[in-house]
Amino acid sequence: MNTDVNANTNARDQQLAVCHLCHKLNHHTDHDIPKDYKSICSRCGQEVDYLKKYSLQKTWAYLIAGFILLIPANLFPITSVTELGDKDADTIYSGIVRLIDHQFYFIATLIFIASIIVPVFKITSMIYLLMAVHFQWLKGKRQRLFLFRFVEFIGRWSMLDIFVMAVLLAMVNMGNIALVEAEIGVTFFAAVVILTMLAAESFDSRLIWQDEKSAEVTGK
Amino acid sequence: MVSICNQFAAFYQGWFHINSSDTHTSNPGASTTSILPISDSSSDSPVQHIDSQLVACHQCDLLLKKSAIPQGGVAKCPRCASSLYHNKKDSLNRALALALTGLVFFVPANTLPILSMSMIGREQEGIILSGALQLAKTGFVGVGALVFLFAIMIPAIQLFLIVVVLLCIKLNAGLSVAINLFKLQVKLRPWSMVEIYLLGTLLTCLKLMDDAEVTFGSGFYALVGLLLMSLLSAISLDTSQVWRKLDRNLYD
Repeated sequence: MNTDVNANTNARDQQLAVCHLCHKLNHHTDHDIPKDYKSICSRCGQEVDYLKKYSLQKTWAYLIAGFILLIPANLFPITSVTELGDKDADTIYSGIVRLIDHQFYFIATLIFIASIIVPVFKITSMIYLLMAVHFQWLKGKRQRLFLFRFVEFIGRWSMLDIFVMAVLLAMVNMGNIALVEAEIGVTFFAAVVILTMLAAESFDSRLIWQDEKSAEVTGK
Repeated sequence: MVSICNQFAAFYQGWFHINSSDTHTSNPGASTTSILPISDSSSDSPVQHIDSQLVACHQCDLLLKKSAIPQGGVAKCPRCASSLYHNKKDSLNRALALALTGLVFFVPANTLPILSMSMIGREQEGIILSGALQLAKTGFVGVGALVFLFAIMIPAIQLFLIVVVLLCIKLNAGLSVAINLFKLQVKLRPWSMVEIYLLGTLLTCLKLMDDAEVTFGSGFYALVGLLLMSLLSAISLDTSQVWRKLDRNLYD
């Protein structure tokens, strides 16, 4: 497993590009081609390139949008509970505090991980990965790829809070006796989850492994 | 595109082995094959069918020579350890059967109540769709649509696409359509969230148990079945094999 990385050949050094959708190897060149020319995978027709097009730009854009929306998602209430005429609105954080008050420690932990730790961890990890690409940090490439795969894997679990709310909404719907309603924060939170998932999806992991000679194409 | 299914894929690989009573007795733990990176000198030879001889790691772009792997094995990238291709046993038949079963589960999972609750003398039942509808009714059309898509539509579309694509391969018909359908299937993978919805239902149940009588409806068990079937069909589906079968160039 511990092969000397520097002795290895990247597909792009042989003018080969692997299709990121169906993983077929395609011949590819990026000079002497017309401007509007698109090189597509011979098997699935998806556009192929050495790297996903505008990968860095898209990832930054989704990430920044996600980060900005994380603020209203945490400040505005996401749910309100009406019990016997009293209406209580909860943000993500106060909802977790309320769960702890009612001694639902297990649920509180899961919601805390899914709704607070995961989005923050995801955004900081993605920023770290992007920084490493921009400044061409050479050490820890393998660890960064594992980090990226982990981020890709955990991202979807942030939807947990929204699903819990959707089920609660359907179940606790008894007029003035007990009523759970969604509040504006939930829209922002859903947007954060979607945007960070899109950020992870548009990031090309091959960027982590590119060396100096191919790095100049990064801005493409 | 690492979904939960891929994470468990290697894990369950061994399970299928133990249950299949054939003479093939390779240790699933040791079935990982590392294939050697090619050296620069070997690239002088004319490369005609690149895809049949070479493979590049889609995660780190390392170029490697393809080598045969034992059944149930997986070829891993020596540089970044991501799996390159599998050789799953009887992949297409198993995935087709499991996906069809999943589609059968899909109907009760969505029409029968997931949870039913009685509180202060009132009964209330909920199906998956009612949560999404309630969100849409109170003005959160977008979030309601997301719940509908992630918990109902996309899992169903995925199972349906697997069935259609595999049938196309079996009947050797409509392969060019099947390519586009399978592309969609691959693209939708991270957006299918049945398992998260199921965990959400469990948490809600735990939460409500304190002040009300909560029971799982038959829809819940169907949902568990649906989740198991879609997980198992994703695990037994050999994506690289499907792509090979769909490759136009092979049929020219």
